[in-house]
Amino acid sequence: MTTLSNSTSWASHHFYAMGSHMTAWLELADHTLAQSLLQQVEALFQAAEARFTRFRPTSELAQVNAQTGQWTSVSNVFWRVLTRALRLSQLTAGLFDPTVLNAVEATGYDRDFAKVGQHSLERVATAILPPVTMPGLRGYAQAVKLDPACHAVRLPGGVRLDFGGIAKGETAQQAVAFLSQWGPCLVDAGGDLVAGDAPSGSPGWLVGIAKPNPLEKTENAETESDLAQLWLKNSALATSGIDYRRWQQGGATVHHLIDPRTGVAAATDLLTVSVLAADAALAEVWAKAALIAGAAAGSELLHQQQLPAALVDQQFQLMLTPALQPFIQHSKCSLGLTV
Amino acid sequence: MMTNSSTVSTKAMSNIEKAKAKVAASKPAVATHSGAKAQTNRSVTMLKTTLVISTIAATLMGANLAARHDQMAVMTPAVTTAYAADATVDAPQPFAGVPNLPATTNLDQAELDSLLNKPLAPIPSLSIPSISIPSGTLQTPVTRSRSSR
Repeated sequence: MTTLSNSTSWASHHFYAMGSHMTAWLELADHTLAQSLLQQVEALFQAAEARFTRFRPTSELAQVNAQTGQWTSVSNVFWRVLTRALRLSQLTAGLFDPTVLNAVEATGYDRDFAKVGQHSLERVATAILPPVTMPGLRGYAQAVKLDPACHAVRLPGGVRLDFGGIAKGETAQQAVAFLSQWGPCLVDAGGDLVAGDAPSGSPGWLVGIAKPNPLEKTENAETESDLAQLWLKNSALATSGIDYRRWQQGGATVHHLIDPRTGVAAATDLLTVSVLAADAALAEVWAKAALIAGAAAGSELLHQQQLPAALVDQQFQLMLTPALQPFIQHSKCSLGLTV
Repeated sequence: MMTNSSTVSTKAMSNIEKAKAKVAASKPAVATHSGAKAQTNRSVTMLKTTLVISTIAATLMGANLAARHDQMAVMTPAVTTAYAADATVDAPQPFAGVPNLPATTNLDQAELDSLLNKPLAPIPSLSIPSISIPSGTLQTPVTRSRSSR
């Protein structure tokens, strides 16, 4: 087993942005410079949050959402994320859709998740109950009109955008591109990982795929365990799951992942899906799409895309796609392993 | 054609001679002789100077080349030695002697048949022990991928 070396030469920086706990690492001999660069990464995420949050009326996203049915010019950054999201929606045949904000809010996720937790909504470990049907809230990505010449967008009347993990992933990717100018780096954006070059003396950044544990009310990194570990280098690993952001509403357990085909919280038999991909947005979207599709269809989708992925169903059964196996350093079988 | 050329040439020659005679008539004979001699002396001086400069230059260049040659002569053996040291190959070691096998067995045919017909001992089943790594031996990862926190 290769061991990590030079760990003392990594500088790291922890911060909270975009509704998530973030950490960035940079291997650089000059720690003062490294800390300065990592603080710039935090500033990058704060700027992205100010642009893409749906919880501030001043954000660009909120302003675009306030003008549905009209043509609205957007910034270059917004345009890039929007067009990427729409392309990924097509790629996943609508399993991912950035236009389901109304449905997300209808489930009660209408404020920062920390506040959702305060109000409610106790996290429970019961099985996901069938969601309440809420018609008229399905995905409308295909109906979004774009004017590339003016970088303008027109949303169908009443339809609003929420980029969610896409904006976070794109920002993490930007952060890694920025830090990579100085040295090997890794960014953990609330559980979505993006790596630059491998640190010195190591084949990559040793990262784990966390074992989902919905019974735990609080997360403690020291007590967490891994389903598997792998070396991450110049790629992204994202996990989408319903083991954490779930709450009670009307006597039913709901979660934040909306199935765009139904407009309600996805009735999936999966608990988490982790996908390894070339970039964070791709990994995030395919993880979400597979989770929504369910174990059988989701693993088939990932296999078709030849994406390395680990899926855990609600019986805690672990499934690995064939493409993931070459990357796995260790696979813990305590959950039961299906390959 | 030849006739015309000869005529032109003859005319040109007579013109030159006339011009020379005119020049000779206009200058004293002694003056003409001493001027030619002075010009010859200047040419000789210039030639000598050129030869001296060329000699000096050649000497200097030769010295430089000789110095370089000496330098190469000093350096080359060292380089060659270094490469030769790298390229040194161990001489192949002789193989250990293999004793001659007996050309024939000392078993008679009956014993051979008995041996060949004897059922072989069962091969013990091969099993690859399952590789399990206790969780205690896992390295602590730098971080973990998990659903959004």
